[in-house]
Amino acid sequence: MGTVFLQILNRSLAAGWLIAVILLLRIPMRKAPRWVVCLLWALVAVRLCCPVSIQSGLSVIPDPESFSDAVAQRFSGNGGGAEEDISVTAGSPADPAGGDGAGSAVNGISAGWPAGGEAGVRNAAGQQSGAGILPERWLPAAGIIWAAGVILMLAHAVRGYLGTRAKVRTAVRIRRSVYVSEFVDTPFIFGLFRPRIFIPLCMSEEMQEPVIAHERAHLARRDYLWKLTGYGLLAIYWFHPLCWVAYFFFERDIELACDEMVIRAYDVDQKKRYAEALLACSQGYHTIAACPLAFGESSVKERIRAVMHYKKPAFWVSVTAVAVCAAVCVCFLTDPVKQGEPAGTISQDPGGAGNQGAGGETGAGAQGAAGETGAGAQGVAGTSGAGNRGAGGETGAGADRESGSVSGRREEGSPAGQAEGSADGQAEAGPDAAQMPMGYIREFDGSVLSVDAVEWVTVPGSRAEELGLTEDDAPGGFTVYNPDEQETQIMLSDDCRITILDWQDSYQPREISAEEFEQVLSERGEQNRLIPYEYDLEGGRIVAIREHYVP
Amino acid sequence: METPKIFESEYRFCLILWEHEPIKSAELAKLCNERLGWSRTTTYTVIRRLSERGVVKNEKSIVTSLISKDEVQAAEIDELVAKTFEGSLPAFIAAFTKKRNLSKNEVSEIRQMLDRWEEE
Repeated sequence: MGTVFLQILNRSLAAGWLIAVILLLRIPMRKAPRWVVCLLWALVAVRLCCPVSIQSGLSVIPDPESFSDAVAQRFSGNGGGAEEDISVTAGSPADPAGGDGAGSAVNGISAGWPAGGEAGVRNAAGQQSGAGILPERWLPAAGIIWAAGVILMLAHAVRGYLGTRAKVRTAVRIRRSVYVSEFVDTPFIFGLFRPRIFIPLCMSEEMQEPVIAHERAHLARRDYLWKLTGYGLLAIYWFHPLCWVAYFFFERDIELACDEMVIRAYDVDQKKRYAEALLACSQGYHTIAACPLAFGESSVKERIRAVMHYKKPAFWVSVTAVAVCAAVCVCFLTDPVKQGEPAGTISQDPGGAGNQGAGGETGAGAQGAAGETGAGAQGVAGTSGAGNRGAGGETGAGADRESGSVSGRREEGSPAGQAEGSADGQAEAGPDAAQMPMGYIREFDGSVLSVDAVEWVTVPGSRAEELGLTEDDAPGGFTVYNPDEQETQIMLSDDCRITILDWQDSYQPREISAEEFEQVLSERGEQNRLIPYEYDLEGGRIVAIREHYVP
Repeated sequence: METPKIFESEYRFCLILWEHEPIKSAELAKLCNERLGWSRTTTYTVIRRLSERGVVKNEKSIVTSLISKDEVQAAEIDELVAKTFEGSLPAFIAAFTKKRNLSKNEVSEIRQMLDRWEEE
């Protein structure tokens, strides 16, 4: 529930921008044909529905990551635990002018959620804008509240439907699809599969004409379906205030579009009669309801004004309007390019249950997911954390994880296959595994280290599950996973800091020099074979070595 | 006896009934569907409601009315005069004739009615 809500929340945030823009666009577009504006609202619906979005450099949506990181910083330290080194490299969101294709996808590093943290949401958390805003703890509760709201909205709709149905049961048919009923106050359309027009009893013949014409326009445009869809979306996104605003204006625009459709061919007299009918049926108070497409519903004044001042829009106006529509489409239906992915990548909706970091996806090949998580990855420097995954600024489209600008674990100059494989393997390690490079030391001549890469896996844990390790394999709750015996040569940097645990002194950490380390290693001899050492890499050299305690 | 209240839609139903009674309920439902656009269930519901109110009778699925058209119309007038014309029938007539001119036939018909009434 919580994770579903998170997905919804994210989508709503992106859609929110779109809604805001459309609300602004409505003002200059008043002269444009209304159905174009209705199209824009349709875009909103698409945005809200679509779990898959295409990335493009023209996206105007502020990258949720940069947004959430700022917020995440406030929530850092939430849930206690790991020391967090938050380095937010704020790239700016893709250029609003829409021209800057490369954009600069943001590479924010979110506050590291505690390593042993809750499953589910705890994916590259920063990447979830929702997660940034919503501390994890609240998520299940928020999910339940959201679900309750949805149910309430649906119940309201059902109640309205049933009530209306009972009311109009005895309506008498006066024309094809047109019924009259004494229980009806204002003309409206009711019915899903066979929608019918219902009008109140005391309406003179004169008034009936425009009213029926208007309602027939609704039927022709299938407005009853769109309105229902809109309400359905509103039921899901009820928590987002802009969605209510959008629905309100959406209803209005539908009515206006219908008016336009009807009076397109009217002369002044007919228009007057239409306006009079509008006035007579005006209800005054606008209610948000799923069913009735009431004639006198929304903003009668605006509609009367529109009717009386209607002028067929010039051709170029219509064209411009459609062009604007298309532009909005591109800018808002696409997501900003995320780091590590070329523009045009179709990315799955981020988040959702079980999207455990990159753990869920496999291998370095999954640029998609990896790219996503890379961006917001756990850059928890300090004690835990896979060094600095993807730290540093990225340059948007086409940026490659392999690029030199990415500092961190990438072992430059190391043989491509194995080390990378294992490094990637470590990259994918689940939340409960130590994330930094680790290995057995095979040889050390004072400046070059020969390492056999390994992985520290706690059992039980997700990584253990992945590897198929059970508690039998891991007495004591852990095991060192060594998939192969291949050795890698890595040079030490000049200022490398080496920390060992003094075996003679109850394993107290002690910092020593490279020469001393050489000596210690030869002293330890065979016993050292199975001692894993963590190391930090920078620019292809080891800058720190830490002996890992083995109980 | 107080004439029970009849809604507009029910009145139209009654019009059909008065025209065709006594009539089998199934046939009545068919007629209502043709003339009013009602579904069968709606017709049956209306029959039930009206029989509860004592307006129609439904025995062995044959429907007959318990109140005649005249009675209902009279009751309607009563209500109209009472509400809109504050109980004054002449006022009602005056208002009626203001908008419409009575034809010769109608005038003589009314005169006959008045005469008959005076005799009673």
